[in-house]
Amino acid sequence: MKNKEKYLKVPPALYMMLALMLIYGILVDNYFTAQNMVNIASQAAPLLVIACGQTLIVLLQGTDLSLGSIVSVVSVLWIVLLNLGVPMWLSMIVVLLSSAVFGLINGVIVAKGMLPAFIVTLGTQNIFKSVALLLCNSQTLYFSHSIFRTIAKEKLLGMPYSVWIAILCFIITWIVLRKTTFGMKITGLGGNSEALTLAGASISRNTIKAFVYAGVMAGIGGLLLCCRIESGNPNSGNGLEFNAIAAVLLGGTSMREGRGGVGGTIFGVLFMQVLKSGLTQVGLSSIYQNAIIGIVVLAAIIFDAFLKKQQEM
Amino acid sequence: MEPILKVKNLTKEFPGVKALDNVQFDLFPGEVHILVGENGAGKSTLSKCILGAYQPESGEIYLEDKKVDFKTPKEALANGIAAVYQELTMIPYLNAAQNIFFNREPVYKGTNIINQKLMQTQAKELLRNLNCENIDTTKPVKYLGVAEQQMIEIAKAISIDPKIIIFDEPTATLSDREVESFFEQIHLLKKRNIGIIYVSHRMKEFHHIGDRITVLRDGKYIKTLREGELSDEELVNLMVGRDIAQVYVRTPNDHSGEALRVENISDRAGKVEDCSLVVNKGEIVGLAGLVGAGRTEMARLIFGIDKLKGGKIYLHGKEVSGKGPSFLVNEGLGFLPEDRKQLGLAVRAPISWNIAAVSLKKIFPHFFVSQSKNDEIADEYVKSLKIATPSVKKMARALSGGNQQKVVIAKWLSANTDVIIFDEPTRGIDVGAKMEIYALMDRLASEGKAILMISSEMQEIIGMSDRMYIMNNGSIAGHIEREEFAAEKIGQMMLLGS
Amino acid sequence: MKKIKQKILESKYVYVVLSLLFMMIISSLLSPSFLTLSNLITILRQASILLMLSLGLTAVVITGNIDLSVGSCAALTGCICAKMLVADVPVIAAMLISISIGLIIGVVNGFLVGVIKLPSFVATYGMNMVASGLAMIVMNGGVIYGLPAKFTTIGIGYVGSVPIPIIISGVMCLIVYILLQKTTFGRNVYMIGFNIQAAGYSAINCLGTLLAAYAFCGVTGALGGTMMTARLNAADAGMSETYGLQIVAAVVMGGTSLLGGEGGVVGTVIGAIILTIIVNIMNIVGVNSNWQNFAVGIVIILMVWIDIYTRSRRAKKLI
Repeated sequence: MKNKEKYLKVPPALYMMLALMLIYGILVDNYFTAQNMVNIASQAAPLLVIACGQTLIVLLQGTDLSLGSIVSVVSVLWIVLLNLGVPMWLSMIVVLLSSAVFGLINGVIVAKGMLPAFIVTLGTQNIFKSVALLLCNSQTLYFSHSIFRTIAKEKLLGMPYSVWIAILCFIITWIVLRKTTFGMKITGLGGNSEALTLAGASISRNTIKAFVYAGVMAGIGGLLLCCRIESGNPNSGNGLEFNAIAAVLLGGTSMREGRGGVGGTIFGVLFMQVLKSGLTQVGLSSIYQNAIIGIVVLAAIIFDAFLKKQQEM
Repeated sequence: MEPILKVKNLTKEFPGVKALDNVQFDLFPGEVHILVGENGAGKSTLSKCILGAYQPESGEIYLEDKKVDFKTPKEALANGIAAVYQELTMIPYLNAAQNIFFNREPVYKGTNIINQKLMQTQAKELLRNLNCENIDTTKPVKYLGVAEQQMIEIAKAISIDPKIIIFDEPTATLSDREVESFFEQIHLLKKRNIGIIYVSHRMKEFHHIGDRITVLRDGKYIKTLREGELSDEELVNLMVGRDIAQVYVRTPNDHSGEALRVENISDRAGKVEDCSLVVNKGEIVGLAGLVGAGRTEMARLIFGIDKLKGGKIYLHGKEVSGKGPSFLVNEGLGFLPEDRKQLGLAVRAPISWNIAAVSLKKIFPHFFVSQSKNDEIADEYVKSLKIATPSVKKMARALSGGNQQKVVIAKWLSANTDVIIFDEPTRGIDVGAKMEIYALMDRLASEGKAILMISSEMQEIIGMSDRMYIMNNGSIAGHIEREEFAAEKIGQMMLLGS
Repeated sequence: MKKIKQKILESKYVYVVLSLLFMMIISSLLSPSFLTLSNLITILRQASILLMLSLGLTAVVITGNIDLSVGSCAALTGCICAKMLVADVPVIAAMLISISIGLIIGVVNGFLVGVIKLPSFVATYGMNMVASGLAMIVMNGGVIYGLPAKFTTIGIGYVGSVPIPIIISGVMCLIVYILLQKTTFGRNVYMIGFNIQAAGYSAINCLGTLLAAYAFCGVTGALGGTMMTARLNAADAGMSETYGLQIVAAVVMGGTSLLGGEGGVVGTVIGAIILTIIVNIMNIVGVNSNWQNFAVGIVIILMVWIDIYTRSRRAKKLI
């Protein structure tokens, strides 16, 4: 029965998050208020959606470094379209379609060229980012519309709509991974890709699908982020891809064997956001934040790897 | 009755090897046709060609009198040919039901959402028919035993309702009770008129389930015969193709002085427990056992790749317990790993680099390397070990299996090692090259080197060893001197322990 | 003669050299000022910093890993160096301290990859965040300029008519070339890249070699960073941003394979020059600088694809 415990275990990210909250709770007045928790949740919403997509890619033993750039390009594109007078519903569809295309580009190059995902997406990261910068001529674009406020601020059952949208994306990803034939193939890709070939499932087609899925999730994340900052900023997605990878890894998804799933990712995301939001609340200037987040995340990943090693002994 | 499957004049080549050379084969419905031969005889290659995993260079395959040309296993599967492979095809973090129905999951109409309940029920029923009702179908298979995974693999093959099933050494990891229920299942399959190709070299099993036997040797078709037509010994002679006494030549020499002594070692994973053995100078000592008995783990433990949990290791009388490979190499220990291409060689590197990999610091103690001197040294070994290559600058990948193995041996010889562990030294090598490797091992022994040989081939280990240890389930089950070697006795110890 | 011809054609560098020639022809057609001596020297000088940054990475890529933190390591060390110089720390001391910081970053990377066994791109991508974050902290959002002339010489000085950065990078190239091709350390770097498991079974000190390769990569990153600071006569936290991707691109462009075991310094030299030409010509023609990143992104993917494609074709030839 020891084994059973092993795979039902809550990822250490949860404990680390609770520890962080305790520290912040001591440092910051009124940290444990409902208002603050709602704040953290609404800030975490875009990251959660992006990390859901990233989970699929990590499961098949890759990483998508271009997701942050997709977020940037999507948010700029959306505002550009709105400024051009495109109706809201159409602009959203166009934006999500384009994010699917970005994912498709990644997927096709990775799967058909049989190239390492990280180098391909490192390349496309720069390509998409350039597209974003070219679209807005390196400026932040503005547009005002009530829907932004509705999604980002207005609440349903105590939580902003953006949080509910993120939770919806999370549930969908969970169902996709656990309950659909496609999800089985993603787990298979990471665990034993030869089994796919032998069972007659296409490795490349499923890889491409996963990248498209991740692209669309980044698109949705971009829209949510855009609603929150009410502008289109070509740098808004910077670093989000790394935060997503960190969240996925800390959530217990492994780059080997296809272990893990989106269930753990949510803990990783919360850990990342608690860490990030807290730094601002402590009153640390944004200059210090990147280095601290990077160090804490690397330390957490090392700690996590260390724990796993202990368990295997 | 018409054969369900006919194979005519099949030829398949790999770099440097003709894996199949003009091979014939046929299979009737409701028949168990056993494919036998030594390692590298072409059994697996033939079954992979039938399955569409390999494309043969020439020859034809007929399925129910229609010529077929499967490009992928998927096509073969769609035409009713299933397989249970030697290596498991399980996906570790999916459960038994998900693995059995992988890519064929029952879904709710019009969606891609899996009907978990139906899938579980069907999986349970399949396993119940195999007398494996106690396998937990909801647990990721990673947390199940190898034998349980093997049964799931079999259930998976049966679940597609095939016309032909190919079994590639399916019982290697099963216990007696499991083997029994597996054979029952085979008889049931026969009754359903399914044709079965059974790749194995466990002769004991042939009498239980076999109808006909086809012998392959060095990729060539030798003979097809009815079960019981020949005695076991005659069958072995057919497989080996010559008198065993000619293949395994040992020069008598004296074994004076202890080279390697292992006392009560255990590893942390529990694969090796309380094992002791001694190898003297000039001796070839066999280490026999089933796959998974812990032989390779023991070798890794002695060579310092895995950490010791307890016990002591002495090399030439000096205690070396807990030391790593680089220290042990300096003390004269070498190790030819089982997986030649993954662990033994850097196949993309030149031959000369591979030969100098271990001895680099000995050849060039002053930090700077001279490629021409490296090539000279490599050339010497190419000559003395008769490695067939136009140049030592060629990639090791371009060599045949036997020549690759010689490069690995040269690697250790160039480092002046005098205690060498050979882990399955002739796996995947044709008989001609095997004999060269045996002759080489004999030469090394008569030069006073101590050899510990791990092998799964009974003939080989009996033929080559001076003494033999037998491992079972992580511990040493027995120790036999050459005069007392008997296949029956060894086989029993391998299966049952002491 | 035939043999030599075949040997040349089989060599991987043929394509690298050909693409260099191709780039030069295109460039001289696009802009008459391209083939002037002064422009060529400018290109070499620009390339020398990129080259320095890519040298250590070449060794890391040969081991079959990657270091995505070189760019920000350069920025951090450049900033620290500048900060110390304006605080009147002697030039030599400031440079030595910067280089040792690069070394530390490299060792930490090596530790994450070799001991913790993180995939190298994850570990070094994280390190990239950390180092650029630290650079921001060091600069506190500001810019430093007006550095001592003794220091800026290494970026803008000349010996005769040859710019000093070209000399420094040239010497360093030679050192790395000898280190990789002619020493036991270099041999082990290649062996690890070919097959790290087999290297372990051959009693090669894999961890030590890997740590050394990463440490070396940190050192060249730091050297490149100080050279960059000297060249600009200024430092700010984002100064290496444009180099970030180009460093990786220069290495893969030079035929060093991401699968490990193949390639070397010669290729990286040419790769760095080609990339600099691409950027240079885009500047001369007056293309929006955002297109440069776009182009470099495509170059990377293309080069890796060519590498893997030709490799699988060569492998097929063997069968």
